[in-house]
Amino acid sequence: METKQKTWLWISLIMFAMPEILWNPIVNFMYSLFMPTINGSTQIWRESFLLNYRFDFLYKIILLVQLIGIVTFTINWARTKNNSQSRLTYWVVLILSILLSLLTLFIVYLAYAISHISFP
Amino acid sequence: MALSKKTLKLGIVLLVVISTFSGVFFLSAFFANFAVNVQNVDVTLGSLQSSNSEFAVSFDPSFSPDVGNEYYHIAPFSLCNQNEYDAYGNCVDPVPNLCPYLSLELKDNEEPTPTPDIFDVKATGVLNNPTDMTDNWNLSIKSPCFEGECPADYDESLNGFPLPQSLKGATFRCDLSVETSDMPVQVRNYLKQSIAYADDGLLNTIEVSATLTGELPPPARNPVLIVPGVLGTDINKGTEKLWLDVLRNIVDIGDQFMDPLQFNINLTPSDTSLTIGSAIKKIATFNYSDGLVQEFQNQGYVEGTDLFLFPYDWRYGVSEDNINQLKQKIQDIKTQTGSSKVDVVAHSTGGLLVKKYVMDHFTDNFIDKAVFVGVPNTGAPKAIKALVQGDSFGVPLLADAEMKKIAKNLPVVYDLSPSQQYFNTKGSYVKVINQNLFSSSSQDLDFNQANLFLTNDHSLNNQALTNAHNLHTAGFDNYDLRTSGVDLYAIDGCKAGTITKIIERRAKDIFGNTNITYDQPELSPGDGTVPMESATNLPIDQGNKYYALKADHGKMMSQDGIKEKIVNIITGSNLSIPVNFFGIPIVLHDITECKLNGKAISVFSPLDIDVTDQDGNHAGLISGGIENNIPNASFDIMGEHKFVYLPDDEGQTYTITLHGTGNGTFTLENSDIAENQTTQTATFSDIPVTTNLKGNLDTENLVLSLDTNGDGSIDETISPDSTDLSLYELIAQIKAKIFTLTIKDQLKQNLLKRISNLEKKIENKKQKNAKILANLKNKISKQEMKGKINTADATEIANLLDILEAQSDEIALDPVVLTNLKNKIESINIKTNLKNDLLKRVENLQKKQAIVKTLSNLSKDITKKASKGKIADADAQALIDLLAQIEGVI
Repeated sequence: METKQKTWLWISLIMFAMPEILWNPIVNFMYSLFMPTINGSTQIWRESFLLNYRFDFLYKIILLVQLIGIVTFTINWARTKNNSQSRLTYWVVLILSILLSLLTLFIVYLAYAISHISFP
Repeated sequence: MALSKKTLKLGIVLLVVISTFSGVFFLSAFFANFAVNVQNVDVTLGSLQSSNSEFAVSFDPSFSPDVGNEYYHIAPFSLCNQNEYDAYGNCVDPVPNLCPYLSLELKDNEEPTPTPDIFDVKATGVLNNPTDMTDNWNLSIKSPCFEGECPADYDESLNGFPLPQSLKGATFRCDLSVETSDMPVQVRNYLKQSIAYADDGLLNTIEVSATLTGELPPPARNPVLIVPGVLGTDINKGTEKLWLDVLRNIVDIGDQFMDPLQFNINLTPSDTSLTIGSAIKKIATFNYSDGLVQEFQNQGYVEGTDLFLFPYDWRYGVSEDNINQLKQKIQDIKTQTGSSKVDVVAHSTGGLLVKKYVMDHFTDNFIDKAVFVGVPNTGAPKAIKALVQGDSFGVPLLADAEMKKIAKNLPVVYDLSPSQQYFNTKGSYVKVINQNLFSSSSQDLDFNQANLFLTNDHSLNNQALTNAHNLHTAGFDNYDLRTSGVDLYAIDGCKAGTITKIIERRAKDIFGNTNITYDQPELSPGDGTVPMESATNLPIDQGNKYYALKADHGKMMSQDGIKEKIVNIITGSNLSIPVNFFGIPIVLHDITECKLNGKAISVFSPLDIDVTDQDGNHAGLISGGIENNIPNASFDIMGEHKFVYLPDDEGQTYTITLHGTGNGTFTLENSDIAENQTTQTATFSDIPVTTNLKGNLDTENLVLSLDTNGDGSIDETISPDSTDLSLYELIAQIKAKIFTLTIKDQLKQNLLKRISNLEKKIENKKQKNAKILANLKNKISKQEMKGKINTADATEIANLLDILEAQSDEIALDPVVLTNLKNKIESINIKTNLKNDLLKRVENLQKKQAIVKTLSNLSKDITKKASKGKIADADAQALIDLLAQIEGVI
């Protein structure tokens, strides 16, 4: 794997992983959907400033950055097929990153779609 | 050994006597050492209230010997009425016990002596004769709450168990006994039995009594109740959530799990086992009321203590049951908080519920301030859409068909459908297009026809519709909550496209079958769900009426700007309201910022203005304030200046009269607003005014007729100062003209697109000019520094450039200044190359070929279309005239 390839892989992975480590936007979103609401509000997994109503827009932007990160990572990783890592590693990472990309895409869609709910 | 038995007996007797006397002496000294300054505590307390009192423990002044340290205990004991005890020693009729709620603390900065581990001892102290003759104690009472009145966050471990309601108003007592021995239990027993040392016991006993009434003094501010709208409360079936389970709506195909939400045709629920959950606050990124709740919490409100939400079964709409529940909720809040009134924030249907509650409880509604947010006072055509088409209300992947099925018999949907009053003010809200193979006809349905459209054509619920009509009487739709003592405020959206007319197309195919489809509904300004005409159909003080420039009905309560405004209204806080791109607050009084179709009239002067519409509704000053009964109009006053907005979407006509209130001059501006833009402004300036002056304004012909001496005859008619239009006014006018043309939609869109392109080119040219001017200034400055242009010339050129820069907002730069600039450049002694470069830049400032070409092409095309009969000749000429005017302006 060329240094340039590696650099881009790391950059894209960090774009996805760093916000997740810091604020858990994806985990929190999934948690809020799957857990029952309490007192009219969905539950959260870990408190984060992003969940404050003032930062709704930033929350969506960060989800979008994560999506770009994980998709870029998947594409870059797919291109490394002929590099030195074992076939097993290649396919496991590729399948995981594709699944994660799909999950992130779904969550980005939901985050935008749910924010457009409008009761009459 | 020689001691006789008699002597021995005498000795024993003497010893016993001496011992007895010594004991008696000791005991009497023991009790006589102290005098307790008894100051009985007798207070009246509400639940969760505190009181403090003091008492002192000191040596008896008559006791003189130095005895050093003397310890004492303070032990509490409750009293027993009549001192009647059962066989087990339990009091038959105990006095309500205050002891658990008492606490003692030494004052005088004296270190308290550790309390010994003896049952019921409250405190222990120590005195010293002669160095510490008195201890002062602080006695605190903190009473618990009564059952059913405790706040949600009530901590029993801190405050004690809630008291039964039966004790409310009873006098609670606790006696504190001060003893100098370490046998307080025995002392208590003595007292129970009213035997030995009773006098001493009473002497040393502090009687503490408190009457717990359970009624709190009124809080400093009213508690707040948030009443959500339709769909704003969770509904469950056992542990299964039917509304709102977003995840299930996403994964469940058809969403039939929601079927139990339906009502039967007789308006009874199809499943009676459903229960109400919480009022919805936040679902992932959908913020319904959470933002508002948090904004209140930022102001110190605590949910469950002085901030409440009202969950209710919204399916029933404005029903007796929901009104009774609201009444009970307000009563509960009053009881819990001790407040005499409650402030209410009502969203959408919640507002209708509050209005009906106030109507039904004219004198005992206990509402102080009420803020109506997006309330459909006369209904909303979107309800018709939900009935005939279904609506997912933005819930991802929620099936419209399922919502249509559920809506069919839900009373609330009918309560939200447009009322007779809506039809009277806004006109038809259903249009039917009948399309045959070779012809088509359309009909705007009147109110009765629209009802038949629902009940006959779509087989919807006749009874529910009748009930809705019975609710939306003229009395209800026009009910003035202020007459019931409610301080009413309203925040309504005014810029979002809102459904005002459902268009149903019935197309017959060659087999005679009718296919029903729906065209894009007609839209008009509102909050996306409730048209302005409905939201503003509310008698209210003008100063309490706000318009939200960015409103999304379903999220209004938590939207930026709106939530701050609500909190400011309720709490008197001064949270800043965000501004839009143009620096205008996004929630404001001024309806003209909504930029609808109509006329904006401003009067700057000692002059009053009165407006009456074609139906006799009046807007203007009356004794005691402003009256504004004209639908969707606004009337504001700032000092002597008056600002009036009069809508003319529906062809309204107005009679506008003026009369002088002082001597001087006045200026009147009349602006036409079309499609959100000011198309023309006519100004009548510096016209003399006296208190005798009367007059009227003809906004159609732009004529001001004045009766200067007040004799009833018009003395002069005045035309506006100048009707020269700015570039932007001309563009707005041409757009408005195109909007009104009776031409094919495609052609209309094409023309509007080309006007938009023209606007872009004008904008680009403005930016280009600004850049050229900046570069030119830099160039001159550099050449001056290099000594290639002398300072005097450079300064002169820079001054001319400054003048042009000041005009850079206008595309047409002053030709005189441009000529002067060119002449100046030509006159200075610099290299030819440099001179040519500078002149070329100036010429670039004057170039407008792109814009002129666009205008010319547009004119040619319009002429062509007119020749083909696609645009009426008169319209084409009007457009070409306007284009020529634009060319003249640039």
